[in-house]
Amino acid sequence: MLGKAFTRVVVLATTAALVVTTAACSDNPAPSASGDGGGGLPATVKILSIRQLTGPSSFAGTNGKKGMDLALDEIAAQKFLGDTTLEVDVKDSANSVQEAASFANQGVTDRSYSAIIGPEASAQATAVSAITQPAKMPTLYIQAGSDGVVTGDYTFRVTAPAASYFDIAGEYVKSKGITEAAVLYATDNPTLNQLGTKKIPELAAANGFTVTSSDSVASNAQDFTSFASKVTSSQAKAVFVMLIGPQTPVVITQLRRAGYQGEIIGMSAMGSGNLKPAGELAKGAVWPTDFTADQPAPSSQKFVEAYKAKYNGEVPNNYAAEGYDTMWFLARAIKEANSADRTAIQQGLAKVAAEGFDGAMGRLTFEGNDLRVEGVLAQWTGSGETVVQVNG
Amino acid sequence: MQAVVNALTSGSIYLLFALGMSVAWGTIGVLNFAHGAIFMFTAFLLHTVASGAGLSLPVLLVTGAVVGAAISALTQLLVFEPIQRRSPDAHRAELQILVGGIGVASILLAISQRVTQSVPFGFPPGTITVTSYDILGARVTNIHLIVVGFALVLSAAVGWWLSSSRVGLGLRSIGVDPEVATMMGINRRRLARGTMALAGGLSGVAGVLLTLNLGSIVPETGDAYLLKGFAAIILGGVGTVRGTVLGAFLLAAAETVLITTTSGQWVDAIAFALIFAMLLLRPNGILGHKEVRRT
Amino acid sequence: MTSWYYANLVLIQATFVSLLTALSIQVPIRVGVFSFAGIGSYAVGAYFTAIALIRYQLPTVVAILGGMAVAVVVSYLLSLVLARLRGLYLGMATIAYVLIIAVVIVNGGEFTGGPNGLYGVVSGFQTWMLIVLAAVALALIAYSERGTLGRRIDAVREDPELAVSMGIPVVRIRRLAFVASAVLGSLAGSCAVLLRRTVTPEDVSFHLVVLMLTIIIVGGSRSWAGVALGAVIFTWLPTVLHVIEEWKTIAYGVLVTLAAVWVPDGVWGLITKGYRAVRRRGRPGPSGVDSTADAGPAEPGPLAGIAARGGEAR
Repeated sequence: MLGKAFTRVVVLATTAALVVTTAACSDNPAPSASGDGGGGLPATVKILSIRQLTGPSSFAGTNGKKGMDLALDEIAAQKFLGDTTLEVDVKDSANSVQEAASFANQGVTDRSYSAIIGPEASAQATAVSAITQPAKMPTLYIQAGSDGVVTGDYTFRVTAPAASYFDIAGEYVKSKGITEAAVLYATDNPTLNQLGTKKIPELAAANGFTVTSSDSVASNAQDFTSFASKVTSSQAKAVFVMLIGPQTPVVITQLRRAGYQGEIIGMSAMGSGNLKPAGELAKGAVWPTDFTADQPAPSSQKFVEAYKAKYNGEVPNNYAAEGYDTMWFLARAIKEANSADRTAIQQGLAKVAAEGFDGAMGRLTFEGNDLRVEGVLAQWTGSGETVVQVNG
Repeated sequence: MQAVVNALTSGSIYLLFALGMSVAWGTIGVLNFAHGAIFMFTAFLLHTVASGAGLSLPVLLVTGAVVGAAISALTQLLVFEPIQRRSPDAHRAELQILVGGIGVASILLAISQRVTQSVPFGFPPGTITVTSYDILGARVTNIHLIVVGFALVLSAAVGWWLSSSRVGLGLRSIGVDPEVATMMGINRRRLARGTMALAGGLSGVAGVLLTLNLGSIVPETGDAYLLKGFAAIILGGVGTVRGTVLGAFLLAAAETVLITTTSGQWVDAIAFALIFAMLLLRPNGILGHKEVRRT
Repeated sequence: MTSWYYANLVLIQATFVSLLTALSIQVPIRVGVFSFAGIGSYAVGAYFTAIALIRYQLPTVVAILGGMAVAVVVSYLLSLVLARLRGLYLGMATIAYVLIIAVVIVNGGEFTGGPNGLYGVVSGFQTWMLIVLAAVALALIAYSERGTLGRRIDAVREDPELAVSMGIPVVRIRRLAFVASAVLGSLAGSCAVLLRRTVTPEDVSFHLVVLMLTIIIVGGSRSWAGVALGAVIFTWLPTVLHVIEEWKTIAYGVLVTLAAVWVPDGVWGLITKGYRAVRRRGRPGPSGVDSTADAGPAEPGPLAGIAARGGEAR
């Protein structure tokens, strides 16, 4: 009896070891020593980029990467870091928090990496910060809007929280003379939840309108017909829809089909072409965003032109802009630090953040380690985006 | 009144979706986890085709049924049948079939995610012109009418077929006792494939109608409907068409009531709580009969 | 070797956490109780531990045991309430229970951190502690697969009515299965939180249920060894698949489907069959009955003679 169990354990352990060794062999070989300590940039500075290139957030991930790649091209072409090249290793964490955490851990233990550009998804980013902040590894995020992402001086977020530039929506409502508005928000998304439950009521108080109803749904909800009927028969002349990208064309279609004729106000998730399936029906919907291709700032226009040139006339969206600015932020910090050492880079990041700089999103400033931008109000024309000026 | 229209419409979609699952599960004992993915994938394939050459509504629906049927029958042929052949008893085969369905669902999800990048997709705007009517104070669009109409007609047809036609009766006898059915000369394999094709066809039609109703869906939409489908079936009773009809509309009604009276964040929990309560009190559903197959 | 260990620490931790979680479902399945309530216990353990450490600064041991206590109580009550259900119906009821918990967590406001989850859990818990706990659990479970206890459990699974008539306390064993599932699940959740320092609502979802089911079926549902294999395979599979880049999600689905079709007893079943085939090759032996009966870990038990009737002969 003992022999049988023993043999079984041996077989199991061998199999496990085989599987694990196979996986280990597909990893990168042992890292070479990097230029540690201050005093001059080495020939290569290595960065780890954890992106969602497949899975449900792949749209954000692939566009963010395109922006980053453009920035890398420019940095190399301008010899911004002298003769030093910025080498970026891209890993796809898909939908998996575990994969993201694992990559982060590998990045931290491999001393040849000087910084990490972390994942867009909040849950993944939270797990990554839990590893990189205590390990004192500079980490920059795009998107990733929940708490638990920027947890210390080594974590930075280069996407301004929607609430920080959302005031323009309140001014828009006021400028239209509207006094009653309804709110619908996705309860299980931190950013949307916070906008729906806290920010919009604040705007209401400041801009002279009242929130007549506040409803929540899950972020995988698709049926808004009841809500649409409810709002149409109410007094609300403006509807705030704080939902994720895929839900936005659906809710607008259902609102219009229910006969609602008032204003529709969203947030940045309405951009980047998400309203295309709703087409003309969604014409006139507005949303505050951190970037839209028509925005007037000179640095933004320069970015748009460069992007179109590189990507065959394709117009950049906000994910691309955020990726672009993140890479440039990092490059500036590395130049400031004049070193590939992690602590020096963190200090460089802090210094550049304190000074601010101009990028694709316009004038970028930081509050602590969190980005702030002017923000702009975008509008759907029926087939594309444009900018809306708000009076007052 | 408007709430009734909304509940009828969403209930109809649940019905079409759950009907196929219920028939397959109640007769040949196959719980197809990929049902939700097939529903979504049919819409995805049609979207890809329709973007190139605009398709009219009837063509879309028929093609949807055919595509859904094909995918489902293929899954039965390539995945579920081999599992059932190799497995020593029905109970263990059930779990294998579940996982096989999970695998197929992952493949379909991955393909559609890769192509669409999870950006919403739908049919070209010209596919249907939306006209709305005012009935008893509620705003009813032609899409509502089409959805509800199809659901009721198709479920009536399936119900009649199961209870009156020779093939349908043969199918039900498999559900009662597979061995005896074979002895009576019923070709189980062919019927099983046919049933899965039927389920898939219903699912495909549901996918097309849902996409029309919502305007657009994403690859991840299929999964949510899978759970709703379970709820409808458990509520009404597995294997009975009338039960599934009742379950689907009951679920839709409960959700609508909740959305209109509260702030809506607990709606999902309602579906789950209903499943739980029903299994507790009446595992066979409101109209279900006790499962005679030995589980 | 140690640098490999530290570089892959996250995956190593994940393997053991997945192992415990999957066991919390496989143990009841082995008793014939098709319950996914272990995932609910995972949520209870994880959130209890996180809240205990972040808000009340309780000692780690208290946090783990407290979570376990809550999970056990809830699971025991569940076992009473769901006593009449069997098979897929029981499975669905427990899945519904897990999903209700998930919704409650997201809507839990400040208490559960809502959609943000909880972060900043600081403790002295180390990876080796997880490994030791997992080893102890495995040893206990392996013990329960052998000898009289193993045969009794198999009897409860294969034919409860017959087992009752043989004097086996079927009801008690089934309830104990729920309790064991709660202990394993909450332990997994607590350890996960202690090592990862965060927990979000996304950790507890239908996706986790699906993953655990896949681990158990593909690895092998009969024995802890199958579950361990499954946990290793599915934790490391994404890493192995990275070479295919964009096709890896499709490849994953294909692999799972192929495994479901071609490997009905799980990878572990394949290994034991192959092992037996190799051992048998030299031996003349009588008709195939004895050596082919019962691919599981327990030797043919009290029902072996009657096993053939339900098509159980393998």
